[in-house]
Amino acid sequence: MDKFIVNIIHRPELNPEYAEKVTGAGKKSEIGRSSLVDESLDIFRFQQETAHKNGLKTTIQITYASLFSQEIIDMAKSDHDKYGDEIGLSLLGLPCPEFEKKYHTKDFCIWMFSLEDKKSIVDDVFAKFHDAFGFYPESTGSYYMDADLINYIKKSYPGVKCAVATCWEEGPKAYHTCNNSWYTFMDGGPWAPWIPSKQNTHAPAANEKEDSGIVAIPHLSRDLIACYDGNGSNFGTHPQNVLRGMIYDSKKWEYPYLYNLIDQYRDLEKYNNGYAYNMMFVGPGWLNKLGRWEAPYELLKKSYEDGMAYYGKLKKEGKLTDMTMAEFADYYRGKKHYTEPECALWRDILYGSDKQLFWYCDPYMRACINMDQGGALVDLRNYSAKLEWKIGIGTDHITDCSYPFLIQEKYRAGYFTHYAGEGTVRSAKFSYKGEVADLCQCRTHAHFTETDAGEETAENSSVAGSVATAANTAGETAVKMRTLTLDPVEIVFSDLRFKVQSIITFKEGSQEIGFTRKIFDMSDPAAKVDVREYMTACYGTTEYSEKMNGIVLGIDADKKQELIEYQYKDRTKSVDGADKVWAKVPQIDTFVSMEADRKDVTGYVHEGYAFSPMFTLGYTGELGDKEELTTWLRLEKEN
Amino acid sequence: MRDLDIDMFYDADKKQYYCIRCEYTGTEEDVLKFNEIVRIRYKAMSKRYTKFDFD
Repeated sequence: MDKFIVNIIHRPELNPEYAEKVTGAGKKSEIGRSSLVDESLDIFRFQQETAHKNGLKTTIQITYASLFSQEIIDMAKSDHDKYGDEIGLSLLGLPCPEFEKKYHTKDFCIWMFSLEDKKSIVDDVFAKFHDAFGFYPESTGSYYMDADLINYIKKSYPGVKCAVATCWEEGPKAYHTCNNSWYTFMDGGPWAPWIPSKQNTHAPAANEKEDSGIVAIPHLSRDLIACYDGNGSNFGTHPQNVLRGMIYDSKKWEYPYLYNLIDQYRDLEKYNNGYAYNMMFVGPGWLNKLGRWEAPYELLKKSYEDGMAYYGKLKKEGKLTDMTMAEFADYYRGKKHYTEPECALWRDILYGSDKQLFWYCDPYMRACINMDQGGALVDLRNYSAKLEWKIGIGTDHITDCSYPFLIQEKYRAGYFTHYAGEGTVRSAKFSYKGEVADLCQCRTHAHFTETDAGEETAENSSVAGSVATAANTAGETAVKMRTLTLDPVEIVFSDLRFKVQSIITFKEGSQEIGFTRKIFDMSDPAAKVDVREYMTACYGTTEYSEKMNGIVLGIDADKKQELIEYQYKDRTKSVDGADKVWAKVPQIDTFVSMEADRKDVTGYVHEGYAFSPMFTLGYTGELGDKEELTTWLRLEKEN
Repeated sequence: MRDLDIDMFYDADKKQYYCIRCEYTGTEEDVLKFNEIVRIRYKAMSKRYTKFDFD
């Protein structure tokens, strides 16, 4: 049965992070001002009443500061008894006089503290919560929860089963949006709920051994095109973010985009075995009575009421199930198995184009296929590496929680680059008599199918052939193939025209992506066209290039191996009939390789240079009419 | 606009808004006029979608 689940989360704060700044302009900083406290209580009360009025239950994420307010504690208890709301504990909203007195800092992001402080703060907050309510919470959260933090919480408070643990693609783009003053760098994670691994929060657990013990949910459900292409902060199931993006009619105060966004998330059940998810989590600062950004309070209020009314309407129509976070964690563990991917075939609903992306996330990778670029792979994270990436003061990554990319079309140019070099992308080029066309230049659309892996054909079978058995938490097994079949594109050269169809496969648990190119309708049936399947990659978490020294490129062939140690010398090596071309990227514990299903092709590796600090793996060959070539991209942990 | 949360301030003496990052200055009317420009790129802003695939 199809199920669209919604988590509505409210957090009472006594010092909303934005309200403090806005209302405090020109006043001496004094945390805990009575007017601010009163306003915060009013906002919390309004949010709760609005949800309940529409028949929706909520998860109240109590903040540390609000644990000092008996009024909030009483309100939470009352709403729990009356409406079934869950009382959880947020690790946002730490700042208050008691906190500052003890920790002597204005830091408020739990993942940025030293591990020692994280543990101390967690113990303080959980103890205070227990004092107030007489039990420990089952759900918690922050904008980001690093693995050490989650592991400590689960070990110390085993009843915790759900947490808000990242905000999708809130990274450098959001930092820029906020005038380079908002230090939340958490690109590269899942956009929908997942079970974090013990090693890295963003990388889902592949099995029980890796299971951190919680179900994670993202902070908001975000637009999978607009947030990736745009500034990352205005496009989510957060009515006031939509206003911040000015995505509304300024005269009528209407915002169909918000409903389109919710509806497109509902539509994702088609790709996820009848399950879809949404969360709305509006912090109190967004409902400030002085207004926010360019929106007056009346519009802020209206947009929240309208958002809740839409969820309420869907519930009344039987199209939505509201759950608390803890209820959802139980549902999720019963519904999904570890290696089951999250899939999203997503269309543009904002800019009026027909652009379409496919997002795929499992315990081994996060990948994005861009149909506006002929099915090119434009974003790739190697979750197989389960990168142990310590975060916070005293580590190498004080604020940078992003899971590193191998391919990122925005930060590394992708297909188009200026003057020289190439950006990161996985695509194919076709050439004939000196003319070259890249599939990135061919816009198309894709269609999704899910089949049993047993139904696979020879053309899409795995080279490695070792599909992991996908045991779920209930002990069931399932191995599936998710396939994207792209509409054929036509390539036209001066003396030759032909069609190419791309078929992209994700075999569950295989750690591979298969790319099949089928050639047909060639204007000269006797002609042969050169094909170049390639992946240009690097590593990083920001726009700026990283040091490539230490990367090794290799070609394995029968009784032969060619190697290049990265020195920015623009070298290329190739071997006919290569079994495998690969790269070791020790900086991110990654081994990435490509293999082909034919021996009459040539494998090659290319080093890159200072103005193009990338590497390329690929295969070249010839294809005639009605011929095809399949290659696999495989991700592994290097060490 | 909207790629950045602009640090807009108001100069009461000159009755003028100004940006502390760039050279923009303008009246409230001017600011509201330019806010509308932000929306130009949202070509589907007013459209209600009922289909999300191309099947």
